[in-house]
Amino acid sequence: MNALNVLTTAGSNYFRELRSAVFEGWDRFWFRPVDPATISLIRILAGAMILYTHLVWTLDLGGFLSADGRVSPEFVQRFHDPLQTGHHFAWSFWSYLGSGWLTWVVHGICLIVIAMFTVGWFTRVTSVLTWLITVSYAHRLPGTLFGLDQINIMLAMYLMISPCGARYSVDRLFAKRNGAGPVPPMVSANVALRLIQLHLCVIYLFAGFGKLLGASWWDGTAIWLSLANLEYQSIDMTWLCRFPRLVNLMTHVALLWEVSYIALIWPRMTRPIVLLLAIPIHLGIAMCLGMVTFGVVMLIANLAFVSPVLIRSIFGGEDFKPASPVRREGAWADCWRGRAVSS
Amino acid sequence: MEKENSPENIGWSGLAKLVVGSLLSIHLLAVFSAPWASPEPSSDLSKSISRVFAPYLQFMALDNGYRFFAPDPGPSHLVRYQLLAGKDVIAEGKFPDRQSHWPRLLYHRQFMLSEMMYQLASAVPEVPPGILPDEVMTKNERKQVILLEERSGALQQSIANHLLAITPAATAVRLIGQTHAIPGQYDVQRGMSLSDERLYQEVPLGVFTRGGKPVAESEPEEAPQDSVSPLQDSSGRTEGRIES
Repeated sequence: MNALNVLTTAGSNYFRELRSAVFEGWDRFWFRPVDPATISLIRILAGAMILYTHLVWTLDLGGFLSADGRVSPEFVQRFHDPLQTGHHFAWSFWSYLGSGWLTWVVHGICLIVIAMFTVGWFTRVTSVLTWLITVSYAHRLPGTLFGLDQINIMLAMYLMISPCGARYSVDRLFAKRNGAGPVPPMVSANVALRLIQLHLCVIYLFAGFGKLLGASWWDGTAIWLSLANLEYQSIDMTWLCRFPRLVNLMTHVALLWEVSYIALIWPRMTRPIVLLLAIPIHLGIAMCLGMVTFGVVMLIANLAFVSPVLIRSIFGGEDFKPASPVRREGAWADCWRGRAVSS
Repeated sequence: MEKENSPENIGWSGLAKLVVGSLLSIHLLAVFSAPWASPEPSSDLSKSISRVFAPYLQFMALDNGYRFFAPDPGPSHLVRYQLLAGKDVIAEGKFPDRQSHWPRLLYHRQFMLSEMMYQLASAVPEVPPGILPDEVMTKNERKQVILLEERSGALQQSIANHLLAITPAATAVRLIGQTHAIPGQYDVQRGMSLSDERLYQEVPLGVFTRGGKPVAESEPEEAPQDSVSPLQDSSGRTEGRIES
């Protein structure tokens, strides 16, 4: 009977603590205000990447977007609705635009909007428009897309709901001229960063799990197969054929890093290691496999794990000091003391 | 502006947290469900969850599998083309082509197109020779196969129309799919080049006219007759089909 009492009390305590930990942890994870420095830096870098991505379409705009371009409206319809059900949700404003000159005008306006977003001018509006533009081009041009577009869209989506123009922006410059005070920590900045972080974990998890189905990732030759692909190759790394064990090691490290990212990116002790490893892995893709844009945009997304305190120490930005002590947000004070984002 | 920076504006109310928290959970489940369900192999459970979110995922362009270089980094697929005026080849080229497609991102767009042409064509299930499709497929499966063939054919026709539009003198274009295999480490050690001609395999995709359907060629050396196998459905439509 006594043992049963002890067991019941222990069980009850455990579930009370678990409930409290889950609720408090959830609240702290999502709703702790953080400095918008990190999300603002991501805006500049992702905006520049999105601008470049769309600028490149300019070089052959008619070849892709016109009615007799490589990706015809008929194919687009069949791609998004392969079973011809008569409806799909891949909305694009390009569906309503047909003529040549109008294509150029709209494309020009899109580039201006993305440029405004990149420098943080009317950010609240241009962030939404940038997402709309990014998604519209992607839906209009299936078959030409790859990882770069997926990450561009992800970043544009989360930047749209964030206060990404709060720092390092034209908006901030104008606000300061009008006498605005220091930028406060914001919950929405945290929500956006958390979403990017979690989305990245999903991406790496499935990228890693997908590789586990492939024999070359087990026999250690996958990196060779990537480097020896002439169509991808931008730097000749075939000298590695003389070092098969090194190729094996690179393959195993890359796979292990991807699969373990979702677990090791969160603890404070392992996070710097995971982020440091991201640099050679993504720069390797960028430099050796001819996908500079994809490699760089993945690194930009990984910035979501970098503390705004570190960002501000590098790029500047004034401190926010509250007019009165904030009692109810203990975690808020953590953020102010420099422990933001890392949890 | 002072109001914006006041501490009272920093935290969110319980109701706001509840609403936003619920929306975040739904969104993240949707984000997870897309690569969980696709590509195959995937479970019925993952597919049914993903189907619930399908409209949202498609609208937000989040319906991605994220299987970069998976399951194995495979061979490349390219497209070679010959522009024809009558029976004469008046121009030829290929995509992607590093010499003419610059910057690298534009090259990569062309590369993804040729890969997509291969992917769509290989998504069409093949019926063994000598067997009628009706013998191995239900009516519904047969309909789906035809739709998949039409989707693959639509991209080939789209590419053909574009090539013909930029070369007004051409009356038809012949498309040839190219698979470029990757040599092993020991082959390269023994001196094999990455562009060794033995690594390339070609499959004729068909001859296409402006806005029309693929046409079978009369001369086997130009494009073997059996490379484009007109597949006729009940409505009398024909589409080219890749024979591997």
